[in-house]
Amino acid sequence: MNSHRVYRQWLIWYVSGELPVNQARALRHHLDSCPVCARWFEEQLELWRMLSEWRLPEVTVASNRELEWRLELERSRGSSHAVAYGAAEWAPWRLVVAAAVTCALALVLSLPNRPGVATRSEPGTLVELERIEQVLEDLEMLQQLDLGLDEPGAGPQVSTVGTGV
Amino acid sequence: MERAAVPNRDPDTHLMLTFQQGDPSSFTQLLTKYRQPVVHFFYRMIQDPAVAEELAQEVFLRIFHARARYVPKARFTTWLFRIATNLALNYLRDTRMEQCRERTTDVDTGELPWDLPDTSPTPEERLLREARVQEVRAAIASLPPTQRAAVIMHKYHDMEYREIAMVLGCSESAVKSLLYRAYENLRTRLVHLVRPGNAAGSLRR
Repeated sequence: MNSHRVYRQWLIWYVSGELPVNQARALRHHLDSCPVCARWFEEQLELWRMLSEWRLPEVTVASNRELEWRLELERSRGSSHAVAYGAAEWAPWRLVVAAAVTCALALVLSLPNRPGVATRSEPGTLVELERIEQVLEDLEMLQQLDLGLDEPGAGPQVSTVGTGV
Repeated sequence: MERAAVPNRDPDTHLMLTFQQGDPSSFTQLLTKYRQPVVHFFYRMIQDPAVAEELAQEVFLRIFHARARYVPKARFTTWLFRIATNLALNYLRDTRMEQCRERTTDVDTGELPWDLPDTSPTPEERLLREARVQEVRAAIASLPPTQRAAVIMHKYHDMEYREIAMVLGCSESAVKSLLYRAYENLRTRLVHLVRPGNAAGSLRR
């Protein structure tokens, strides 16, 4: 029984044309003396022919175009990043640089009272009141420059001066 | 150095290496040569034309992306079919339930959505051939995914055992055993057609 299995395994290679010559000779000898394996061989041969009947049509032009379009998209993406076509896409240094820049930015933004940057003020806070006071003083000074201290109301109105500045 | 690494100076491996070095026309050549075999492989594995097209595109996009990392350890086709087989097996694993339902529906309606138009001379032969192909499709679809992949690569893509073994990541003897079981399963399932003297079988060309 075990030898039948071996011969049947050989039969598959024989049908697909892959059995070495000496084994093929031994197989033919066995088939002459074993009707069970001979029938099995016939069935395997028929199966091989039947499998060949399943043929498929050519690939459509539309699907080729779709792939070409997707590849073109990939190429354009690649060329915007890489200097040469085919350059390595996997560049670990890019990740390191990006991470470093992100960390630095996050650090700078999170710093309270950064030097050289005006502190953000809430309405009604001391800083806001000081600023309003400063603006009013500036307006007053401008008025005095334009109109003179002795002739109040001779020049343009305060409101228009403010918008003109 | 590269030349020594190319197995058996496989021309497709050479094309892949020239593509890696920056020649896009090499990739176009590979695409032209292997697009159809890859689509057909997926179609026979999954039996859905739309999915076959989609997965074939995925294979070539992966090759495109992986060009920088490509190292020729085997023939190009081995690498290509390894990507394709992994995608097909993953797809089958992820959609197992849907596959069962769709297959049942398909067998019920008897539709052959993507088979070659029949050129049999008589209507009777045409019907018999259609019935045989339908049964072959169903029999192949009933195989476990790894057996299915092995049979498709062996029967329809003329791949050697060694190459199939490399694609599936197993030994050559394991592939022989796998194929034996697969063909035996197919024979058992199609025995009513393959038995000599059967009406449908006797009409073969």
